Amino acid sequence: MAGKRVLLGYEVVETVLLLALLLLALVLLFPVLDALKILIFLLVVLSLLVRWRFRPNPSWMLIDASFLVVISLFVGDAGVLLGVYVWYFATENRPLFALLYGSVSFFLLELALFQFPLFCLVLGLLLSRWKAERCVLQGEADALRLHLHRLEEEQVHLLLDYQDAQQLSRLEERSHIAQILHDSLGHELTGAHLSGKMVRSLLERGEVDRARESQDKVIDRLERSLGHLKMAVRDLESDPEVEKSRLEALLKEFSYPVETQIRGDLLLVPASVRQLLHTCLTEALTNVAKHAKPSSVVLQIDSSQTMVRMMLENDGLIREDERADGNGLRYMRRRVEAVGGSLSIQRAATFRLIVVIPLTGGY
Amino acid sequence: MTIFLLALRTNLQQKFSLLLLVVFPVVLLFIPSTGGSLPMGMSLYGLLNFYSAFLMTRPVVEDRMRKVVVRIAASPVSHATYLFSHLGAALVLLASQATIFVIASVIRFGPSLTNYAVLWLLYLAYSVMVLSFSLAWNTMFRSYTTSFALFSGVGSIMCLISGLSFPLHLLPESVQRLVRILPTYWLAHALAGLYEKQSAGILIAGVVLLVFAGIFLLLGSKRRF
Repeated sequence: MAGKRVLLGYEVVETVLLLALLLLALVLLFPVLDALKILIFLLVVLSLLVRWRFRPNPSWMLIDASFLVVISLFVGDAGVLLGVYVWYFATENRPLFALLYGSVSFFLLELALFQFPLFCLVLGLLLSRWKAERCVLQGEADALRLHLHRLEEEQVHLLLDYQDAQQLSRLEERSHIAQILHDSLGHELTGAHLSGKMVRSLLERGEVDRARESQDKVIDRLERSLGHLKMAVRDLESDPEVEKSRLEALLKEFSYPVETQIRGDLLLVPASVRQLLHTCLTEALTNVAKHAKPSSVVLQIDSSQTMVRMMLENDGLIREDERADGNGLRYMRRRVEAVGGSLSIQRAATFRLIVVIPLTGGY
Repeated sequence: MTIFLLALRTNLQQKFSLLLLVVFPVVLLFIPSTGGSLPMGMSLYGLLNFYSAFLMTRPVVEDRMRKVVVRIAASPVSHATYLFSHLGAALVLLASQATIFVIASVIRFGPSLTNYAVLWLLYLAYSVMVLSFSLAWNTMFRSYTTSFALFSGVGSIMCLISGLSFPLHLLPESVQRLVRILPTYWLAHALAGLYEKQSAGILIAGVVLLVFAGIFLLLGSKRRF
């Protein structure tokens, strides 16, 4: 089991270094530490804490630093504390201010004590570089996150478009059926209905021969209507042979041999669900080809009156770091869930992708 | 009822708080003096005030423990109002304690011993500092019991080495210099200045106490849930 990783972030390092610098300044002042210098030291700490709590514009620190310069003119050694402000300006990406107060401390302090502001300047500039680099990395990470978010949004829109297209296609199909019924069956059935009425009135008037002629016409028209109906149904239904050949082609073109087991009559499954299963199978086979090296691939399709279940199993290599669902799988899951179905994955000795779609909805 | 009044009532409901505020300060005045300084009770009052302030901040810690602060965060009351109401109530009680102590000192030692107005102002500045210190200290802990257990040790040592429970002039010179970084030292320093009638020393000590108070307040006032 991997141990917990402790990340030393910029903020922690910055705080620890600031505390260390304050302590160092106190140590440097210690031989001459009197009440006034303690007060000045505490005021410097207070000004840094105000910045930590309220985060004003770093340039406001010029007031505090200038105030310290004035005090240092009267209390010489207090100029050591200018190093803390030099460090502050350097870390807050104000190198000119840092250099300015570094130069001032050069005139205020002895050469030995001047090392402290110099050390603060170098340390501050290094931290500032780190901060800038971190900002760039954070910016890139944010841009990537934004890009991913937009892709996901686009995916949702595509899914909605797909559902809209499906609904449109259903409406067009209905309109087509209505047109066929109107054009082919409507005229014949109306004619048969009128001829039937005529047969009754001719029989009431005793004109049996003419009634018989009309009756023959009714029979002819009804026979033609039946013919039209058969033709229309044949036109509307998808061709099982075409679908079968498409499936066979898909499995044949796949890189690995696929053992196929189909139970139940797939013709009982609505065409839209068959199309969805075909899309899922294409995506799943692509995933197998990309991520696994199987010795056997098994495809099982079970259909009943209430549901259809498709399982694709392979014993290829499954790497631990690829456990997260990719975009393809996520998109597939959304499409299946959109029709009330479910998509699940079982990872054990083999990799199983199972798609279950209920057939109770109005497809 | 405002938060200020609630905090005041919560603090006064504890009988031990009443003992700390009224009885103990008077008892301190009967501790014999070591000579060469103000009466020992006046510096020991710093220790009493320190512990009193810590007890006064208890409601703030308990509110955090019982997640009351989460409910307050969701209410129209700002964190600053909540915090300053509590601190204000505690400061009123500590100021009352200082007033009782100073009046009792005048009665016990006579009005000519020292400048009692300055003494009261010093105690007030010290009370603000110890309150802020207690607030900052408590923010480091989630449980008041743990906080108090550690504070009782650290607080006692701080008061001992900074000259509150032990005469400052009896401490070695090197220790005297080292303990200047402790906030409690500055009351002992000011009391010594008051005895020797050094106005500048008293003024600096008072300002240092207030600056310490500001530092601790900035550290302790950050909202924590």
